[in-house]
Amino acid sequence: MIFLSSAVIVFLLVEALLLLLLLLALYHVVPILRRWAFTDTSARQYALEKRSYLAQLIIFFTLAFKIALLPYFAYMIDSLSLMVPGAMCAAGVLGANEYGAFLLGLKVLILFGVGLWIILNRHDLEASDYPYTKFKYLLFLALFALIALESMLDWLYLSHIATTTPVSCCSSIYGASSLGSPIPFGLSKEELLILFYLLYALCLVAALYGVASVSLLANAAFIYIGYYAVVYFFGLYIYELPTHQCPFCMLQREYGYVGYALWATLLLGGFFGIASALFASLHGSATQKLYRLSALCNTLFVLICSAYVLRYYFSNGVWL
Amino acid sequence: MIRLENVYKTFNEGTPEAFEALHDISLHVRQGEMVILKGISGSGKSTLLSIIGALTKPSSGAVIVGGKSVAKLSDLHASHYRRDTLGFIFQSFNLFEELSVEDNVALPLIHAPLTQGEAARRIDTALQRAHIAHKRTVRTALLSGGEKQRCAIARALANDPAVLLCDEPTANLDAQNARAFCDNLQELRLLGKTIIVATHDPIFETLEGVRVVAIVSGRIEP
Repeated sequence: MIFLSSAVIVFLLVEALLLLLLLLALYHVVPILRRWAFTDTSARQYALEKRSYLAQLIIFFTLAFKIALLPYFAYMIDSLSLMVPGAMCAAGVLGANEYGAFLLGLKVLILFGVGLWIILNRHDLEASDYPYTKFKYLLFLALFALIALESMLDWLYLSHIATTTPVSCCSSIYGASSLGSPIPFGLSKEELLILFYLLYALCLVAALYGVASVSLLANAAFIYIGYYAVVYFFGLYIYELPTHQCPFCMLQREYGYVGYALWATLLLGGFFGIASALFASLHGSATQKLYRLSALCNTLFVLICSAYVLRYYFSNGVWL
Repeated sequence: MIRLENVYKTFNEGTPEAFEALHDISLHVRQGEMVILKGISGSGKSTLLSIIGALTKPSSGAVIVGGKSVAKLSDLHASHYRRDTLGFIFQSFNLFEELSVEDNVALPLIHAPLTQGEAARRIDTALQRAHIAHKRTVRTALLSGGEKQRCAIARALANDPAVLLCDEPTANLDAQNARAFCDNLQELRLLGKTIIVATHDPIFETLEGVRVVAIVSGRIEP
């Protein structure tokens, strides 16, 4: 029974608590969306400004907590591999039923939405006339719907993990037998690697010169190609095995939990790059800080990836 | 300079303890004018000062200072408004007793976008205008009541504010020091500062060129 895992109990309790807080925020947000008129000096508008202050505080706290909950989710799924027959890492547990992969994708999407909301909220509070109040609460409504769906899927996913039925794990999902076809556009490993470094360079140039459209496209592509490059090339050097291809085993202790750093820097770099482009159009000028953060995270990601390859080469004198 | 229109303030709104501190206050203060808000304790004078100082938001109504709607400012902008536009003088001085006069005066400039030279020049000017330059290196714990209030004036002047807000500034001063304080305020008014004093001390009514506004139970007396 999967609910006997303390990690799952903690996760579901925290998720439920956060959803309750968001419901409370929703109660304040709806009248704000209906009646907000900043220039009005009526008692109703002042009351709405007070409610907005409370609502944004609750939302900010809750959403910031959601960000921390994603690595915890990864840790929880990984820890469940001990209970699910056939699973050696999170890959097997995620594939234990039809909800797992969709849930993970949804969580990443929500994380992007949460990041956008936090940046939007900050810009709103820094301006003198709260120009994004309605927009940020509309974004909150969309996020709330996604988070409610996520909570439902969390429950469905976890309650449908069978602890008696064997599952396929990374060796069969990402294994050597599948090599060739899983890399997008039929690219070879060498072509994938060249594309990886070219896209990184493009992201850097876009950040350096603040070209919003290039930053948006390059970072979106870099997340996509970066994922495949890690699974089918850099991962081999992390595991030091030419046949082990898995995005999840690197989250485990024997690999120094490096997967958390890798995926976090890739997602954050991509997020800041995309967000800088979105906010450039919103403000009419690029947000330099976001560009810098994007360049920093992408560079860290590339450095970690490359360091494993170089370390292996200098230790063994051969490439995998 | 300062314009209040139909300002209401109710504390604990929507509860049985609701208390209306200000009722339909409309007031216009011109630049370089000194206005004395006169009234007994609990009449709403300090609440009105807090609202002008963007420390409290009204329940309704408009508060415009220098063309800016200060009742609508976010926390960040309210802080900038207080730093750039206002100087506060309090009844209990609110000085850091372990710091020297000079250091107390320098405090409002910590976050001001000024060069060191410009900050030093402003501190000198403030100390001289408040007639406390001769005590600049003395710890404020060692000052007399009158000197502490002059130090408080210097601190309020450090950021060269357009508006000075004084809340019962002479309550802890003897008659001689209270008179000296009033003379100092008059000098500042002649320099073009807009000054609002909340007080029940009749000494302010004896000053030339001031406007006295009586507040009773949260309303301006006609």
